[in-house]
Amino acid sequence: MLHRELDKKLDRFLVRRLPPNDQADVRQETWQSFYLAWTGNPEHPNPTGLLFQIASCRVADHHRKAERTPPAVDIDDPALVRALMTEVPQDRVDARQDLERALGGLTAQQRRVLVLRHIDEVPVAAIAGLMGLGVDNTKRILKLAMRDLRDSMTGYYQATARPRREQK
Amino acid sequence: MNDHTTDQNQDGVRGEAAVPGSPEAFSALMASIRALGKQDRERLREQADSAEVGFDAYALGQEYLERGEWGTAQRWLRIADRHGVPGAADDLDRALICELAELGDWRPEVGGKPRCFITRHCDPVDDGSGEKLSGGAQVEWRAPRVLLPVVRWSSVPAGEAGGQEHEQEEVSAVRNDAQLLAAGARDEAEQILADARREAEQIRADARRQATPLSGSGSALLHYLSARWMDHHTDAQITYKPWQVLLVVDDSASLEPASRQHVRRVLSTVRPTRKMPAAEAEGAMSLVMTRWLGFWEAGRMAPVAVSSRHAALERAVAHFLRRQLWDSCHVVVPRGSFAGATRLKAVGMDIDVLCRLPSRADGPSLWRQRFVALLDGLSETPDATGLWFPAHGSVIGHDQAVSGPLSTHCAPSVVPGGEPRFL
Repeated sequence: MLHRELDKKLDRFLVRRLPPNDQADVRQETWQSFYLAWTGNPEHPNPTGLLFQIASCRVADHHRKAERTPPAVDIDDPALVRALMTEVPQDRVDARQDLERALGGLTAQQRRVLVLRHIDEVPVAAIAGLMGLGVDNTKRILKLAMRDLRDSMTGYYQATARPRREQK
Repeated sequence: MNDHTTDQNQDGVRGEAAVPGSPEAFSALMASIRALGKQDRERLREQADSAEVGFDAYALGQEYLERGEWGTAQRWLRIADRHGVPGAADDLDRALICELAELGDWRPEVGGKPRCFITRHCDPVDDGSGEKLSGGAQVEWRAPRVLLPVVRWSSVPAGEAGGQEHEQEEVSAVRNDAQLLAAGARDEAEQILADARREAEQIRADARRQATPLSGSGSALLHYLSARWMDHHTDAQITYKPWQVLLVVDDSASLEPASRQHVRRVLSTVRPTRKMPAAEAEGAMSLVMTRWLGFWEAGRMAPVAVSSRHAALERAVAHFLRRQLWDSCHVVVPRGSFAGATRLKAVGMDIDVLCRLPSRADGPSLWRQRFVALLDGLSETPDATGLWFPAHGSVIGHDQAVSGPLSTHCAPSVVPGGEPRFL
């Protein structure tokens, strides 16, 4: 069940961080490691988080062994723009540029959360585990990041999106 | 990889060919686990434990960072880094820098008083890479387009360093900053960029005019660095590497009005980011450099022993070297009259700066000494304030080194082509 749910996400997570030839090995080793740990502790409170934590360390270890610098997936990532542009018509070049610029105004932490959530589709609880944050804090960062993006793209969202709720 | 990987490949047991999440992939995974030997199982369990411990340590490190307990944060982050947690090394940078920052008195500008910040301006140069976004399915990694980080430093006079009034002013200054930053809209950024380009051209022209008669004073440093920076900055297509730094020292108390104006123009081309720079790894070394220059320039130090400051600085530098943020960066542990001198090299800009950190033992007369800087291409003799060493690659002779503190009468000898040696 867990494997069915998370294997695709893990695959997506690894695709963006490893060369194609290395992905299968790391994916298998991650699952092996996870299952052995999980069977030893079936009451683990956050198995999803554990899986992605293992995957992150395996990826880092893989790059270290290959003496490579891990790709900076969280900065200026074109795929992030694509992921966030799903509702924007392809001919809206200006909106895309706005979005790129708006992403440049976010903090590295905000971008990292956005990448993990919207590209890798990692669950929020697992993101919290990966970033050393609490779940609520992670949600808050995500929310603020999206709000900042919306604020930076006021023109587009005013025309298309539903009105925002007033802040308390 | 475990010992069974090859066999599994040959047997087709491994799940790599199966669609992720499919029953076949799961069966293959289970088969691969069953085929594991005892040692491999143990190793894989340890990997899982290590990851969990590492991330727990990382979370603790984050928490201590939030609380401002830098030492404890460093300890946990180091553990996290050892367990291979990505991001731990970056936060370790931050903790180290924050620790350094606390060793000195460093305050934001209040009502016209001097101020210190690092700005890092991301993006706005359009190099056409935006076109790539719509082209093709292949993901392209694009380096962050970071414009040269610029450091502006100046100090608060010692007498004004404390007090409740100052705290309140600080709060209001930070509030003002926050409001200013929040008000920064997109079109304003574009306007600033256009202005920056225009001013850059102007400053380049100014710098060219003024660069020839370098007078060996603080303003010479400013002009020289400003010109160098502008040369880089206005080449809009350049993607700057993180370790390229420019140091602009703004000593508004001692600079001539023209120089101050010049610096102001340079600084007006960049905008502060909303976050403090300590969190930015690429700003870290320039912060260190600036801070330590600042200690001396201010003629006023926190009550910390020289040895402590050096130890902290050395730790930071060693760490940055390990992170390969800088190709070459070292602290010279000096002796004799150079005690307290620190030499740092900013590789990206080919600038060597020798900072002399005074100790209280030097006495107050030395506290007003300016920094000593060694720059490429300058061949100035020290002026009346003893500012410059003569040339790049010069050797400071032992006789000069032991002859007394760096001052007007202490002009070091030069052996052309040699490496600087600090005694």
